[in-house]
Amino acid sequence: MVTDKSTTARLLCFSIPNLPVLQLALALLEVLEIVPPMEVTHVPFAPPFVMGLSLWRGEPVIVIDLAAALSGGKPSSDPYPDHQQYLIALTVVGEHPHMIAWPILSGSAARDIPSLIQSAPLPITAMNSDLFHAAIYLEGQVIGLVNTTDLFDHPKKVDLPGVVVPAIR
Amino acid sequence: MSGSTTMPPIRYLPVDAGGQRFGVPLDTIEVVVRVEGSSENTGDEALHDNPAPVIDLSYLLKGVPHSGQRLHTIAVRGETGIHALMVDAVYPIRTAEASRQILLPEIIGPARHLFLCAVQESEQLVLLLNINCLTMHFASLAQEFSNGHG
Repeated sequence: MVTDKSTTARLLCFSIPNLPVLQLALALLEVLEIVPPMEVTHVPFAPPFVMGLSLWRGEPVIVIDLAAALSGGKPSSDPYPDHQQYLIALTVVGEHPHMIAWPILSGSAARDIPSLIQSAPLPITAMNSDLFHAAIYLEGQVIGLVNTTDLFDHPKKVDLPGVVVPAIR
Repeated sequence: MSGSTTMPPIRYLPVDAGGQRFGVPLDTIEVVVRVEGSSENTGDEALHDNPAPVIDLSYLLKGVPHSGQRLHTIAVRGETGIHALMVDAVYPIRTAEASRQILLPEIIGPARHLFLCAVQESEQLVLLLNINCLTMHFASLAQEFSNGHG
């Protein structure tokens, strides 16, 4: 194992509905807030993993089903159980910052990890590896570091006949 | 980005389609017709004197057929001419001030072009239809269907 305990990175570790066995993490700098369940408005013709649009402090937030995005599966048919929380994150698509959110299970926690740490294979091979920076071993557990910047570059885009859409980047 | 003072107020007709509230900008509306009866009596009959393609908004936006209850047909004018939007219910006209208008983020993809903006109404967001884009999209789908079944 290669470690350097002189420097550390701060991650928020969490798990998500529909993929509870997979421990995920996001750099703490990308996390804006964890909030109670949000009112989500469905947006027709959005990518399949997009649950809809919501507001956070008066600003629009795209709410996604992260499990569906990571696995390429269908979004949850029951995406709004009362016990869930939502993680609000900042991401950059192209050159523009955007706010996105997704449901998480309770029990998320901030953790300090050595900046040099052993990488690990993704525990579920069916995952879309583009949406992970890496997977790491931490205290015997595999944690996937989520890469939100590529979420919306994923090929699962909706082509809309009659609508010409300029490229984002 | 939320609304700024440069965005003019938008008057719109709130409608229900597929169980969701949407808004039809008033400046695109020619006429609103209450359609009595069951689902067999659809909008094309209501607009008999002015034939127009009929769009079941519930099916187009939500993938479910209209409820067949309290149907209304709204004749809207887009760049491709007049279309009839069939909706499940209509509500009193409202005005969305600039401060309540929210542009959809570009990362949401093509959907962004089908809606002018989202309007904050109490706790919920209402998507305002971009009639030009919506009717062009519908015309394109109809053409594809026609080509596939011709």
